[in-house]
Amino acid sequence: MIRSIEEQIAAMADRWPQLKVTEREERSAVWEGVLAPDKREHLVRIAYRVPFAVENVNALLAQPRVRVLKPELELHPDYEQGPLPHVYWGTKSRNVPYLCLFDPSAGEWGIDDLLADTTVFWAAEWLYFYEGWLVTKKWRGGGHNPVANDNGGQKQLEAV
Amino acid sequence: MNIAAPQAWPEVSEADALLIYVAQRIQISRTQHEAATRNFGALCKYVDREGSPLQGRVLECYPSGSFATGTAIVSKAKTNKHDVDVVMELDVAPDTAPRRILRLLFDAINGEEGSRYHGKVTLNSRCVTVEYEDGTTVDLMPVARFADGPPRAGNLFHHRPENNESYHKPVNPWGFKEEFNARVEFDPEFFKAFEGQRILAEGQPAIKAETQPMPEHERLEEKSPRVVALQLIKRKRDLAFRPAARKGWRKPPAVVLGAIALGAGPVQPSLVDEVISVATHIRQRLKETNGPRGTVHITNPRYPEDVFTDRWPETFDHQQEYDADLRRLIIDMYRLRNDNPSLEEKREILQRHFGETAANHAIEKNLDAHYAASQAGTMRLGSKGKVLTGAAATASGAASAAKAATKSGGGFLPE
Repeated sequence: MIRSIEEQIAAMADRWPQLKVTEREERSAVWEGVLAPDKREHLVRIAYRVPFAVENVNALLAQPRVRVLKPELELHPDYEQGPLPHVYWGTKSRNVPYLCLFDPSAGEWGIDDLLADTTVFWAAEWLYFYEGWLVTKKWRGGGHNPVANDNGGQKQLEAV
Repeated sequence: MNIAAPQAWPEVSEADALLIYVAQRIQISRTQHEAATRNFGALCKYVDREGSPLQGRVLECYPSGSFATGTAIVSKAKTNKHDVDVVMELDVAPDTAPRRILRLLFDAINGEEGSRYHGKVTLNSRCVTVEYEDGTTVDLMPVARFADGPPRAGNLFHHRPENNESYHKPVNPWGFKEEFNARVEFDPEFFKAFEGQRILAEGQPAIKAETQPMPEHERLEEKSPRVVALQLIKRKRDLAFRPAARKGWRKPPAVVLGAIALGAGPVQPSLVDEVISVATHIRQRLKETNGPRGTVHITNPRYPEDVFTDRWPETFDHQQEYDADLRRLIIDMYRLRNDNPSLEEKREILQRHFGETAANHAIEKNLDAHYAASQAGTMRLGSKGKVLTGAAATASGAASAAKAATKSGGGFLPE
């Protein structure tokens, strides 16, 4: 069952009131607010569009887009899984990282999930392990590592 | 084989979890413990061998110091080196000249060129040290028992030619070990809180007439929180005395810290509180000046003639310097417990007192524990996504994610 944008907005307001809707269209919303899993406050932006039922829904493409607006995520090529673990890069803004919060091929998230119960939690967890990565130079938050093939593209992800 | 206890485990605060991971990193491993057992047993037999200058004179050998009280830690976390103190009771007159006894022991171990320990032996003022290839050392301290007096009490032999010092000192390390271990008991709550596993009892090894076995290797969770707190305080001491400014200073002996800790009142239920309690009690004793150098005076609780503070502190200034070390430790333990420091601040606190290797280990293990919780769906977040631990997580009723997820990423995503 596809969750409507109204359901998503209501659940977010109930569970994460500090995440305010800053943009709203018929089937989409953008929330901005602070997540602070450790001590540092991260201003995050979560953008989500409810797909049409007739669309061939692909979890990778349908997922909420989660960015960290402030402070900018640090890049450390010399750290484990550097320069920045577990992110996607925007196709238009190639230097904008979007948090990768689940494995789209594993069915871990779907359009019947509430963002308040999944995305926001996972974003906070991601940020917590990101803080840990900054301190230890090691990513301790699990996940898959991408492996480049001989052509330089992205192949099947290798499990950690 | 470990057995999981059937009940649920109590929540552990993040401060306690971090300290237990530090303690894990500085423990002597079972393998090291077994190697130390073999080394010390072999040494004692070697001293008593046919043809040795001390042949037939070795009455008994037993570990003393930290190994005897379960408070042993590695001396260098990066390399896992450690030291073992062993008492060798000799059938000699307690008033034998110290120079002669120490020389005999040195010669008995060093032997002829090409022999087992030749060239690896150092003669010290009260013991002979043997260094092994892996960098670990055994300090063998000869003691001659008194014919009368408390069991196991005797003289150690002190000889320091450069200072023209030569004397006997009454000691009873066996008595202190018995007293310490009798008063610092296994704590079932500590066990439940930090590990919740048991090791099946193993049969005792056969005991040779002249050699007492090393105490069985205790896993960390089987130790009393007081023992673990002492280990952390010892680690703090070791690091505090590394800087060049303290070169040549004597460190507070572990027996002094252990003897004082016995009077620190009831064991606290939390490890960070226990560290604060023991360190605070030591500071209270360090106000005393009734010793011969106007410094604190600590004796063996089983044998008051055995003065533990006969060489440390050398001056009241040194006593106050150590007091300041403990004050800084206590302040930072309160910060760790109360101030909700960031991950980086926690790492800094741990590194400042316990060293970089142990600090990094603690932070990484703690992150691993949180990851396991996130995968199990038990990672609790408060408002603003704050990661909650221990009783705070339970008490607040904070929620966890509806399900776990696997981070992946790499590649591009249309905005």
